[in-house]
Amino acid sequence: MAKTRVTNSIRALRFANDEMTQAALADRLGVTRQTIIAIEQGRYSPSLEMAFQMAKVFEVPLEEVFQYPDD
Amino acid sequence: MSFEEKSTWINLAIQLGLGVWYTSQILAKAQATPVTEISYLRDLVTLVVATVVLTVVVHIVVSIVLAGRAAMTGSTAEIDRSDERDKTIGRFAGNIGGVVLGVATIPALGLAVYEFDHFWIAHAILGAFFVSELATAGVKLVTYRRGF
Repeated sequence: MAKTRVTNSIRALRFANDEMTQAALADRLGVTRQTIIAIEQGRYSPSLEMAFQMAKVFEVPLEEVFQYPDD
Repeated sequence: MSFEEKSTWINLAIQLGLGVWYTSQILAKAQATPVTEISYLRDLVTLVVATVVLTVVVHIVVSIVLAGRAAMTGSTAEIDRSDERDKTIGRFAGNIGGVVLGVATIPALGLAVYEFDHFWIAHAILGAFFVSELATAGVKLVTYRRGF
């Protein structure tokens, strides 16, 4: 399975938000902790809906959570 | 490990365990009886019923254990929760399992066309189901580990 080119700042954002744990973020989003781990490690690209929900949890624009590199 | 991944391991273990049990039953009978005269219906029904019952019981037990653990940690992230990643992986693995099932039933079709004994046709179909389930579980587990 090819690794996604989408990068993210979830880990940094979690720490900036009172060191939110992966389990706490998973609970807020209603997903498993393993899904948060997979997204953080770039092994899974979430749906657009989950991406927006995540941005909402961190109260930042989507681009601050997920980035796509220029070619 | 997510609940769905645990569930896949549970299903795989049950299928392998019961697969070995069923094969040993048939092989034991084959020692004394010609293969085409083996009475396998009772074992086959037991296999199907045991698969359903064991799957349900083990899942209930695991859910209870995980709920107890969740009550201690205060996080519900590990309990019986299925999310979009689980569903995507399930669909992906299910598609591959479906293709495997389609291909694996071709030998059974050949056996039926050439009018082999029903013992061989039934077991070719059973084998196709088994291989398909193994393929589905294998793809799921690899995808959970390597990413999707």
